Amino acid sequence: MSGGMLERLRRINASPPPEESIALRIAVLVAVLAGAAAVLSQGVGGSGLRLACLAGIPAGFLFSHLDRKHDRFWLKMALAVALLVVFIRFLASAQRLFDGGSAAEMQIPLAELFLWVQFLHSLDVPARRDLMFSLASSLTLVAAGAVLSVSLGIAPWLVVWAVAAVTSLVLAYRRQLDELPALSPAKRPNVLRPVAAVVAAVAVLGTGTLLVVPEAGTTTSLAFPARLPDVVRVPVPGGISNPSLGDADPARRGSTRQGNAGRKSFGYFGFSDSMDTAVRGRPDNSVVLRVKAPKPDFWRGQTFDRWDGRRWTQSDVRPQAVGGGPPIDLPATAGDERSSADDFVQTFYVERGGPNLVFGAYAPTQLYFPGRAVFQLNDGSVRAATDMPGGTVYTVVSKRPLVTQATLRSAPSGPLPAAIAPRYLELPPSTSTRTEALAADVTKDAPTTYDKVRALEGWMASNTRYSLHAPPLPEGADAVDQFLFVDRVGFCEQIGSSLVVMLRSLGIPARLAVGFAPGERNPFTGLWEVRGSDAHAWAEVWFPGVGWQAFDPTASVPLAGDAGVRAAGSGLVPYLVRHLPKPSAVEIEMAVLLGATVLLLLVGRRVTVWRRRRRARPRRSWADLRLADLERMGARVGAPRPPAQTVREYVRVLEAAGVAARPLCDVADAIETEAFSGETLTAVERTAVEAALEEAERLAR
Amino acid sequence: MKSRPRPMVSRPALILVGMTGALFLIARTSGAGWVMVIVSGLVAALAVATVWPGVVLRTVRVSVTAPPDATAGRPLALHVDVGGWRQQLKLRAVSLPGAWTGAAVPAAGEINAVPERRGVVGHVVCELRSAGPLGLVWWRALVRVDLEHPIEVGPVPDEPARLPVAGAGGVGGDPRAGAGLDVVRGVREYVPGDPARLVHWPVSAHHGSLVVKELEDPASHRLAIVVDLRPPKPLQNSNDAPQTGTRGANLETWRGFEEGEAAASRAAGIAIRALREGFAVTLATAEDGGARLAAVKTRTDVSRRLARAVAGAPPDGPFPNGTEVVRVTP
Repeated sequence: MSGGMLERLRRINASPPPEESIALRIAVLVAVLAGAAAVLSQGVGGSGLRLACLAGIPAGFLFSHLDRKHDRFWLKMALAVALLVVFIRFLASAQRLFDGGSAAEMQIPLAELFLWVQFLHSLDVPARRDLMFSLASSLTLVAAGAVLSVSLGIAPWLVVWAVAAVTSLVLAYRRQLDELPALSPAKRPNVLRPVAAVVAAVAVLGTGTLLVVPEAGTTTSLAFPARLPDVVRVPVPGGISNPSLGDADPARRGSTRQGNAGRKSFGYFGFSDSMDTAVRGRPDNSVVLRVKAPKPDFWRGQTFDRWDGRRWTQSDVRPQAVGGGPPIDLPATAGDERSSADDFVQTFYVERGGPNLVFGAYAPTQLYFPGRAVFQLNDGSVRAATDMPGGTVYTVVSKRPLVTQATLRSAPSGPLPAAIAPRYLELPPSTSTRTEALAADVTKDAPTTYDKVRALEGWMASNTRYSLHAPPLPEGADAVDQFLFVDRVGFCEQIGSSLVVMLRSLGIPARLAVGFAPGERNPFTGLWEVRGSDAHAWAEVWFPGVGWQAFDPTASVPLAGDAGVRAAGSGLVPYLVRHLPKPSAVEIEMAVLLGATVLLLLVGRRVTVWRRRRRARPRRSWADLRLADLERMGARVGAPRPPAQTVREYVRVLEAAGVAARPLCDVADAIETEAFSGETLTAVERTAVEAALEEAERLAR
Repeated sequence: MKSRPRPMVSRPALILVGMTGALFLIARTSGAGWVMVIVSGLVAALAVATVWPGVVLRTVRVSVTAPPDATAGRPLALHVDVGGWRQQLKLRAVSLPGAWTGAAVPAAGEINAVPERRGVVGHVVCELRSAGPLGLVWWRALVRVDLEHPIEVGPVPDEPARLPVAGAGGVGGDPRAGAGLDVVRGVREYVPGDPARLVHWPVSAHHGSLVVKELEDPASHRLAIVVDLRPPKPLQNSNDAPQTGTRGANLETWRGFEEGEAAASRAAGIAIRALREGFAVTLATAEDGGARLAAVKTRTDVSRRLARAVAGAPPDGPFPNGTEVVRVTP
């Protein structure tokens, strides 16, 4: 009995036969290296880990191949100990969770653990089963890199991994069949064809699947990343710092410190302590933020409530320090009506340094920010205590009022709270009567506040035009009056300001908010790519029971309650059309030329192969052809030639059948001479024979 | 005729499905768009791996050519021609059990099969399996290929040490006959034309003139083997009953009548030995078409006759005078 058990254990733990295919090993190695590169390209690991992966993994595979037939008991023991050490180090890193860190902080140590495990495993892959395990773990690496990636930079590694993984599976399947006796020792079919076919099929089907599966991320998130690469304190605590404005940086005005000389191309003047509607700046098209959020929204930076006919300022700029956490709990501010809606989690990845404003959807309730201390103004806007250079990451948790048209229409009316009126109803003396009259006229048939707002938006959409090239504002002129009645052309500052002024003239509390429009959703990363040109100003209107609601006739952002679930790949085709390089005429010509050359080469190759095969076929001699003529003649008259019959005998049969007018014995002689004597007839003799046959054929017909 | 291909889920496919599900959950909770791209790719790969081999397997055509004769329990080479869309698969004969063979379709070659029992095999059932090109989900199909000429599988001959008959090499007979030697009946004067090997030199020396041996006429040894494969006692279980009245001793219908097989083997052994010893052998067997009484001249004849023998009543004669009759039963 015990002998049987031992035998069974031995059989279960018996080493499988070593894998001999070098091609399979190389394919799996490429897949593993692509997975490792996908992770390392996200900034994971130090130089030691990079060396272990990029040099150690190939060396490990080589060692495994060379040592595949030996007993590896001590190596397995050593690897087990090394794995234990790596895991203990990982657990030590996990201590941060208990120190109040979030699950997001575990992503890097986890990715490092996967890389070390992959490196150690590469030293022990003698059999096919081990190679397949390596392939599966390379998928884990690729997924780890995909979790960390926020740009398109991981795409090349994904493509390489996909091709290598498919090649590995195809080769492994073929190896499985190679172990069996072969039915016929045929030439090994090319592996490239099935790999190319599978990759093409997966690409097409995968794209279709991407257009169907729900997008990544839900309203609930497990990860709240926060990271600050450099700590540069803002000169005035609680003040605004915007290095992208160069000399106009409010934090460094008049400072002798060497700041950013000159205006930066992507700076937006709305991110300052005041906003002159006559000046926009020239924010460019570079990506400044990437936002991970389940839905699009306005990424609000700050608001302005005091209007002087040209410039917006803030009536109350007393910052309150807010700390604690993580997370930092942000108290409610003037006009906030925090709903019981689900958390709306947004993670901001700063690509280019800009203002120290913490952008986020209204109404922010919690903040995950490195440093754990920020400043909040009583309009709800939040400012960091440090500059936010590229590489900064922070997470905002907002409670968005889930409103629809119906809920806004049914918002209760009544006296406005003291925190709202008169602050958000104030209008300067420069506001013209015709502006007030226009507002009253456009909204005279609108029963509710929501309808009034929509009516004004509709009027402006029909009667004004958005353009970044608005005429300059004359000195002393009211910007809203100039826009509504003179220019009728303007950018978001004029449009937003006009909407706010007209609403205030109707007794509806409104303010101007500045920040970023949602940006363009990248269907691959799932992130919203916010560019400098997305810097924006829009109106916020206060609704009782709801709070501040954004309205903007120029940007299409659905109401929070209306936005539905979208597919992961929605917007894929327009995104590709916009971002794929547009070839020039010369490049198109080159492509056509190249394609034609390739086609010619393929056709030429086919023709060459066909001709070679044709040459290899045995050629029919003159005698064979003449015999074929006789047989054809005989078949026509119902006298086919039996295989064993000689030419001479057959000719006698044909003559007896009355086929020829004169005897064909000369024809028979000629054929037999040519076929068997080794002599070749002269051209004259051949011609005579052919003529006799032609005559006979004519008669036979 | 081919059965519908059916999928067989493998462990790697299940692991991949599990990983895809886990990655989907990770994508939904982390908001990582690239993970959803990977999930889409994995779903597509699983779809390709599941559907592709099933579609391609449907295009496979199999033809089998077999030798006309075989012996039960001994390997038989079947020539198999597999056509269809290019693919890599493995196949084996299942009705005549054989080992797996790999094939890169289109392919042709030989596979070994071992008929387990005697009988007339009119068709071969082959099993095809393919998981190409990714090797994740195996599809299986059974193909029934009708043979142009049936295979007549004879029993394994069980030759006795001595024939169970009197005379010649049998009981009471000249043992030399059993060793395949000539049996001398007498001598006579040499007649021109007699073969030189028959000259009896000692007697010729004694006589002073050439004398030749006169051999026993082999045709005078006749043996009739009556093969009665019916069970000796009533069967308890109907499953054990040999299928009489069916089309030959078809392998698909013959069930576990081991004693009958042993009897057929003994009959084959006796017949083959008797032929070798110069007997004129007649076999009396029962076949699907009725009782049959006919001579057999070669080993192949014996094999074929016994391949077709069923458990029925064999003819009991009439046999020519001088025929020794041996009855073989289970």
